[in-house]
Amino acid sequence: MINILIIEDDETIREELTTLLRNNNYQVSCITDFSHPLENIRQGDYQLLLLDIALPNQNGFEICQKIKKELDIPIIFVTSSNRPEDELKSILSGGDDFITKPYHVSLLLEKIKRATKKNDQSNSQILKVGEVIYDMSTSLLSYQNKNVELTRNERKIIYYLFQNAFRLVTKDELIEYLWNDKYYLDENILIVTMNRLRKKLKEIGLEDFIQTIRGKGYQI
Amino acid sequence: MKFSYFLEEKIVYLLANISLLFFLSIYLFFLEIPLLFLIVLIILYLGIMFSYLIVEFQITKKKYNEIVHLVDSLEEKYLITDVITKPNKISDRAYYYALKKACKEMNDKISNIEEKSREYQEYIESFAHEIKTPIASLALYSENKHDKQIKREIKRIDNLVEQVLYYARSETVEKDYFIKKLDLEELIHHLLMEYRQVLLENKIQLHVHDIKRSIYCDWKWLDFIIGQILQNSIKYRNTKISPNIIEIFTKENKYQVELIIWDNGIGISPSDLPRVLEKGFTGSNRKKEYATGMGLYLGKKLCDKLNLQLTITSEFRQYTEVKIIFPKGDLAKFKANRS
Repeated sequence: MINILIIEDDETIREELTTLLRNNNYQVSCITDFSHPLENIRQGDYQLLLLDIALPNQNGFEICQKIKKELDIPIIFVTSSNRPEDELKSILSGGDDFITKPYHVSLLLEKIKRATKKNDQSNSQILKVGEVIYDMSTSLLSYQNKNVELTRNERKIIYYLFQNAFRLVTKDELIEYLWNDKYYLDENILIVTMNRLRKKLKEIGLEDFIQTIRGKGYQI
Repeated sequence: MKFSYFLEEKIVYLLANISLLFFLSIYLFFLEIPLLFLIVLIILYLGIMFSYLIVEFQITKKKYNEIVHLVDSLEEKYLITDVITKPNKISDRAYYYALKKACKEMNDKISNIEEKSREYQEYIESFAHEIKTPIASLALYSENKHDKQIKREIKRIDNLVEQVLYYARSETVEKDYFIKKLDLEELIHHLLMEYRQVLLENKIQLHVHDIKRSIYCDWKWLDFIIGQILQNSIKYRNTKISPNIIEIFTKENKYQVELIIWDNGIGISPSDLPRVLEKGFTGSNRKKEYATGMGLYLGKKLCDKLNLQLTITSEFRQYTEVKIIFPKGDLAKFKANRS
């Protein structure tokens, strides 16, 4: 599991951020005593640092600079400032990304994902659920030697469902994922797309591969 | 400055000299001086007098033009007393004295006001900065508790705070932005993610296409500007029709990139259209709740500062189309390099 360290002096933000990240399957640690942040960072095995700029005793830029000299940890700055100077400083001191308060949660999660992905190369080209095989490179979905080609939007839906196989995927969750992927659809269009996708699957003999759980979402 | 004005000013001198010459001529005439001598005397006298006047006119005119030119070429006119030469004439000295005093007092007043307005702006900036921490706490809290209503209200508070912040910034002359090459698609994506909840809740269909473009602009300012336009499109949707559509796309030609944000909302009546960019204008027909009349005004003002064109076309009850035009080419690149 990815281990994230939060360095933020506002207690409420720290706690809520911790809850949020834990809910999203990250392991989270916090610093509450800001006298020796560097020691704390060195001691743990962290894959990502969320760093506030305005901290007691010192500022985030200094910490970032010092850390980057010793360790190769991605660092995301979190700050309430939206002045261009601060963003520039964050880049100059070696930060990987920059997000301003109040956080847009999906954006924050996306940035975290992006920052931690650099070290995580487990992206396979072929996904499998039971006998159904989805080849990402050719965008073909095959079942018992029969193939069907997927459109761009269908690919995205199938990919997400495969990644979360055997689990209920809510409509909201799916929509959020698709929006993240620059496919801005609403519920009606999702339903239409899903029906078209089902029809396609039926052609290769896959009936009820995607189950609809009424009022909740989908599952394969 | 005309010669006639000058003569008018010198009227006493002229009259005195001419009458003197007149009486002198009569006097000499009765002394039986030969007429020829008398005429030579008169011509000489008048000649010298007029030459003197012409020379004085030229000098005065030169000084006059110098001062006028100096004032015209100054960007801040009230600094004139620092560049003007001290006059020798007694009457001019009084004016010089008055000008000097007046400008000094005004300079003091201006710097006083500038100082105050800078302090005020700094306060607003620090206020916006400080209030973002509790807003962020609440945003995270509502996310963790899945409380959509609080989330929605927080987005509104955040928008209002941003407006205050950009209003404070728009009033200063300082350059507060950072122009670089931007990916328009990324920026629009970022914005749509921000407004995702409210867009979905209001069942607004988005048609986003042809926005893979690079432009030169400041990210945050442009984010704010487009945010204001988007907010309006959502706020003034037409609830009587379905679906509500917002279309975002660009057109490109040799000289410019046009970003177009089109909606099929309630539109703007022709009488309101020329006024929607005014400060504090909330419309005569639109619902007034939550309207501050600042959004488009600020959008336009920031666009002006960034050298972007913002235009609005609309047909009442049909559509509203906001267009932002980004100039292309060397000029924009040149600016980007400099900043």
